[in-house]
Amino acid sequence: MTTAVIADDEVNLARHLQAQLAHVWPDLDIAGVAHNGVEALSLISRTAPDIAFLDIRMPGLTGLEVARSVPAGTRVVFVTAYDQYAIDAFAAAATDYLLKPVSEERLRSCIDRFREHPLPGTDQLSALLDRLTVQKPVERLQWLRVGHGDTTRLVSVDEVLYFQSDSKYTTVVTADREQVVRLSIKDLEDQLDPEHFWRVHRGTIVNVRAIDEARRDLRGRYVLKIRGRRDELRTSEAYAHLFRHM
Amino acid sequence: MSKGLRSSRWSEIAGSYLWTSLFCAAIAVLLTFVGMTETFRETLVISFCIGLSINTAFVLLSDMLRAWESWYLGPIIITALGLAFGLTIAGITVLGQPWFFFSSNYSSLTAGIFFGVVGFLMFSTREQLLQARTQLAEAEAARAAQERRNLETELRLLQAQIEPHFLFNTLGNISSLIRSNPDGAEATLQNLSRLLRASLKRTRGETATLGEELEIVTAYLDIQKVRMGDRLETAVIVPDYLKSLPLPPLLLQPLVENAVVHGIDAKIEGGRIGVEAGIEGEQVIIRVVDTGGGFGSGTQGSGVGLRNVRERLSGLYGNKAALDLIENPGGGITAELRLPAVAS
Repeated sequence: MTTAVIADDEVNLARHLQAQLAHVWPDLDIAGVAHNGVEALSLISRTAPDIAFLDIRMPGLTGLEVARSVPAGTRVVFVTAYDQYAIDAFAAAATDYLLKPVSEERLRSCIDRFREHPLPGTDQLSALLDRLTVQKPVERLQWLRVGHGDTTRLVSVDEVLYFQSDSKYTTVVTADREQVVRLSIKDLEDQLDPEHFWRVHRGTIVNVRAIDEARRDLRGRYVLKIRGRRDELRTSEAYAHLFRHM
Repeated sequence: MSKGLRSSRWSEIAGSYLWTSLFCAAIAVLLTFVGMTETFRETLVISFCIGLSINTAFVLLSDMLRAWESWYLGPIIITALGLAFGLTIAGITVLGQPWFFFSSNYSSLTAGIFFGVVGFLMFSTREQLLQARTQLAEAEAARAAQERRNLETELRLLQAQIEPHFLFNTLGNISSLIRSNPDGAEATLQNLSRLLRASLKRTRGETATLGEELEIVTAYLDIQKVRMGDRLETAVIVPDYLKSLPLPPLLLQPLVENAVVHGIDAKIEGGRIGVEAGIEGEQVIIRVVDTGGGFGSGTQGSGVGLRNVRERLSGLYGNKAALDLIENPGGGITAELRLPAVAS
């Protein structure tokens, strides 16, 4: 008997797909239903089903991440409401997928395909998943925790105009505030996206998108005007090369 | 661009020498005419020495002027330097004695000071006029830039209003409920209609009240509750008398969406979202409190919606409004919106 599992964080949708499957393929044995990525992974490894219906957006692990660890004998069918990027990739790689709301007609043709070729094309799938999941950018610092009395505020790095540090503290300058963070300029440099944040001085990292104007002084260093600010930042000679091609 | 600037700088300098020469010639003519001097030729030479020397002092030192806080001190010092140098040169040229006009004859010094003051007043008036014009142009440019940013934000907001994934997911939910729970399906369909209607209304640029925005937020949260089941708990606690307050659309909703998508939905066990409002002094405070996972991992991209809100706030209220994100001691985030209570 053919077995299947369903993984969808939305209870209604999981139940509905189960009902639709019962209707379209009464003999199919639903070995279990999972409601998040972590549950899905343990359910699949426990039951080793023939088919796994995986929702893409789930808490814990995404459907794509779960699919990477699926055993060789399990055929994966992705279910999604709208992930254009992934859908285009599935279509190109002839991977099975269903769109929500799932129509019975579409479900039937998916099942027919499975019956004709019950074995999953694992190589192709893993190559596709490599492409879809590895492309995740390196985790960059996105939020700064800024102590403010006894509360901790969060400041998005996109808002930051520049960071200025002396030996002990680093000041975060945004359009409306200057606040102190307990991160050294070196830590920040390592964690920030180097595309947008440039170290222009021993104690200064500037958000490139906040630079209004860069002009050279007589010694070949640059003086930076920052959007909405009166003060100017100086680059040191060591970092002046960053602006040569601007 | 710098080339253009440089050539305009040169023509400015050339112009200043031309005007100074005319000014000096006029002084020489005037002084000769009223009979204060011996010969026109000598007066002309002295006048030119002083005038060109002062002008040169301004050309060489005027960059330093901008660093000075006081608008008159710098020009006075430069005028005095130029005058002293000019008189020395004139002394050498006319009489072969550098200090002549400082020791034996004070008439040229007096005249020099007098016309120096006149020249200085003319110069500083012109400079102030120029500065005012520059400031006006800068203010104009800043306003235009702000307007452009507002427009861009509006556009981004319009594009972001109904996220396709949310729309199709909701339709999937409605479809799943039609047979098993027809009442639930109908309620969800009505909530979705309210959201779509609200976004059409916003596209036409109509203003809203806090009450209307809360209805939209409630519709949104109810849909999410159908989707997430008991993983999502909500509480909207806003006193009735605040509901008539005008509130620009799309300030509150993005905060609630953020709380659902990045706060609760990312957490396996789910959580609770509270929306509260109150008045503190002359400000309306609206808080969206969630018990989600906070901004740990998997929150890349959540900055975009918040940036939109912030840009809109500054476009609408300048620095009179703020959005703060505060980490809750027990986990999760509070997004706090502060607006002036009186519509400006």
